[in-house]
Amino acid sequence: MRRTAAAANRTGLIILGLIALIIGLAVLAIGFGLTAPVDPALEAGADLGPVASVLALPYSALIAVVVALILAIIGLRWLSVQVPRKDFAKPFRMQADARTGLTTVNAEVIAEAVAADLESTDGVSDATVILRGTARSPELLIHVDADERADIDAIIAEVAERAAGNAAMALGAPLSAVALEIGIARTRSRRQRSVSVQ
Amino acid sequence: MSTRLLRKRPSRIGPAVVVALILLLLAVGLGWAGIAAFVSFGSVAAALIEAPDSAIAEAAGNLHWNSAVVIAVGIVLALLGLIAFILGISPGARRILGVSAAGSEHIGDFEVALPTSALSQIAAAAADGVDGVSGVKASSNARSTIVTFSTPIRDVEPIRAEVEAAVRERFASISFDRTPTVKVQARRSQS
Repeated sequence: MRRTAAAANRTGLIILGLIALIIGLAVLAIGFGLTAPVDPALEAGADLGPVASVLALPYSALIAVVVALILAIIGLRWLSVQVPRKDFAKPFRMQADARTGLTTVNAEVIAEAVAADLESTDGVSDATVILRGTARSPELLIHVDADERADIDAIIAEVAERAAGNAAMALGAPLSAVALEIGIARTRSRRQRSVSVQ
Repeated sequence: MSTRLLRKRPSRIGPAVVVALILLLLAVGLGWAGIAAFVSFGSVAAALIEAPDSAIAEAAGNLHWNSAVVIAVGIVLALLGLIAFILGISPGARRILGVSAAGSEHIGDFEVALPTSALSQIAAAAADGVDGVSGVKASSNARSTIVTFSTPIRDVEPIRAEVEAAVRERFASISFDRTPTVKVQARRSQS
């Protein structure tokens, strides 16, 4: 339900994976003598002198520090986008005429009200709601935790009819999209949800 | 709206975090080596003009391409690269099942999904309601569920059939886009 950096992760993995794969295969090809026919300098028994001499060039210390900085920025930036984001809508402007003043409503407030409404549904123990989009075309992302024996189809119908209807009425516009994810509540133990007769 | 609101495939957060940490480690190592070179010259200007005769460069220059260390590094790099590439390119296992829903007049586009973990819990709960079942485990992917239950009873076949019927009936009560198949395994518990 929350947004993740899936595309960035996959692109980064593909690019870095290819780089590592190509370097690794090149090292292996030279090590097993496959490149000797192409260039006699790259035969298997040769030493790594030409590669190591790069480290001994002037400016190599400076270049190392600069490369380290670039790698650190990429690594930190990539790490920082890994936290899943809720991406709530910006506050809705709901006034009819801006000359008489602005009426803004926080999307979080509406989402909380919808969640409270959902939790009154039979069989639903917990609900999380994210509101995206605009006041005219709102999008609702809902996660409900249902009881493991609850009637799932009845919960879906209840969300579609009652909760979505209430939310659409409160916002004054039909919901352009609703996504509902149904999880199963783990909290109640078997003892609490069953009756034993002795 | 063409884009789906619910994500079906894994977004590879774990591998991305590992690779990002490797990048950071490389950065720390490189930065350390570079700064150490500056320090060993005493001044930044000297380090810029003169070539450092670093011990690392000399040690690396003495290695041969067919030495075990170089080959091992090549193998590790190629393997890690291949794994990262496959993780990036393969879509990965679907983590949710679509459920068809009618929607209503207030909703433009209605999308309903059940994670595979919820499917396992529903199946386990259904199997747990059968008499004679002492413990249940269920695991699911987007197409099928495997329920493993334990029972103290010697003749497991009738209970197995009953558990299978209970889970199938439970799944039939939910209007999945494609109803997952059920496989039930019995394990006799010691009693």
